[in-house]
Amino acid sequence: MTATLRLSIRWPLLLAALALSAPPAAAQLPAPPASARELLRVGGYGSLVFGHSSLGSAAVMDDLTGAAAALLASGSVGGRLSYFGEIEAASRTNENWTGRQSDQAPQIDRLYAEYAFADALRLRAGRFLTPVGQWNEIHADPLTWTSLRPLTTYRPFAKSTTGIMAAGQLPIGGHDAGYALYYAPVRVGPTREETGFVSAAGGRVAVELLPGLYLGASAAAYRATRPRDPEDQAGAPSDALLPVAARAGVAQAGDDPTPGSEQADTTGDREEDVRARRLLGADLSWSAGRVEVLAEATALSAGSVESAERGAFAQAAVRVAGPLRAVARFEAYDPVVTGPLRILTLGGAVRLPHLTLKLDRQIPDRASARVANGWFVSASAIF
Amino acid sequence: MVRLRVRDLLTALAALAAPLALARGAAAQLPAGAADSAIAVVANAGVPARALSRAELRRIYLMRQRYWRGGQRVEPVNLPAASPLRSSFSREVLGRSPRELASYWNDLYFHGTEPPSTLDSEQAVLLFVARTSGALGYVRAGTLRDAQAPGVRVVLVLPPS
Repeated sequence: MTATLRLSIRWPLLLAALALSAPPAAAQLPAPPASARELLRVGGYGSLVFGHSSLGSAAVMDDLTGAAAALLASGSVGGRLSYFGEIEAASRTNENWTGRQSDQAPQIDRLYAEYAFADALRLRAGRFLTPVGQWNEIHADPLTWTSLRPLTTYRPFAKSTTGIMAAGQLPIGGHDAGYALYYAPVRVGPTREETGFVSAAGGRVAVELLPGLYLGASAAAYRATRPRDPEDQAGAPSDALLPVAARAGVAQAGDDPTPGSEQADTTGDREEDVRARRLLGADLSWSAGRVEVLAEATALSAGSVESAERGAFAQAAVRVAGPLRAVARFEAYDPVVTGPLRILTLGGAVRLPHLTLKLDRQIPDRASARVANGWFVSASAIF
Repeated sequence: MVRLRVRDLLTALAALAAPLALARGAAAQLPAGAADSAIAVVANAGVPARALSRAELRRIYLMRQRYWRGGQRVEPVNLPAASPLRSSFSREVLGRSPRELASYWNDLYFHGTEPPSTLDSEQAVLLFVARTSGALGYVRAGTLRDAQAPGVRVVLVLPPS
């Protein structure tokens, strides 16, 4: 009896204790979604690249070891105001790992504040990635399929732009569409890119025609600076050593530049193209099942000391087994200072949740100081 | 003695179930004959939308639509990637499995956008949606019937796949 009584008392006590020990209902609720109102999120990515390649007309294969790292910080306040920053440091001369750079100071790729009035209108101010094509806005090494970047995705425009932007998402005719319009009236900060905007204005639209099939178009008008000697001393073809104006004359046979009205303004080791140039771009991406396809094309009008440029590439990544992809890309760029260049890239990539391993063989059809001919291995991680 | 123990047990169980006691009424919004395995998309009762189209739902779960029509922020929540219900929802609404969407989310992460948060269970989804302004989630119709969550509105029912 005593035992039974004890038991009968213990039951409610035990269960009451359990109930009390359980957190209150509100505390049982999961934390609010992380996407909305976190003040600070920090992430980043890093890459290690080993190359065995030649540049220009050099027959000697050189080894190159490079590294790049980027730190990302973002957050939002009150659900409508947000910010994003990306700072990158890399031991490379150009996007395509064609050499080391002497100045390895970190570069701010993005630093902007954004206010969302609605899904259809967000206003952004600061430094942001130039919205041309798809690759430039998703350029992080762990998110791409090759160690080397197509010329089309960086040579004809600046990677980043500083100014204001209006952007948004709209459903149009049953399709999801996005747009971005930007205005960057002044140059801010130094640049080490092949094309650095002095002033620019442009925009981009992208539509999802079918699930997984995106079609985009970009346009920009800008003035820019470029390195004084694009085909540097690493075995450049002989005509690359001609003065810039002479090269322009070669590339634009028949044109008659008017001296005095269009002059190159040289500052430091860069030269400014004072005539506004116009860029048009188109891009397409498609992913279904095992296959991902990306194609981009740009056409750049002639400036005062540069020739018109056109570039295009098509790339396919096919899942072979598990996380292993086979990758093939063909690019044509005309001109790369002295003439057209065709580049074939073949390789493989293994993409794990936080790590991407790549092996590429890049084969240009002629020697160029801007495109390496050789093998590249890279490991990149995102966190 | 036995009666006392059963009564005590029931009393204690009721106390433990108190957090779920707020859940009454949403099951009545399910269409008659909806199978238990159907997916019920549920929103906080305060959202302005009475119903959602599949296209709207897709935009929200791809983080392309962040705001309800009245300007309130949408707070979508997911189940864990390994959940069979999450997989069914993803294929039915987004057209791909959670694994196939990994690249999409990696790309958005690079722009400061994270995927919808995940909650461990359908019960947690119901509680979260009931208590969070602008929240949106999904559960099995059968789960909704059992829980009968008040504060939750059924905005779309997807047939079993």
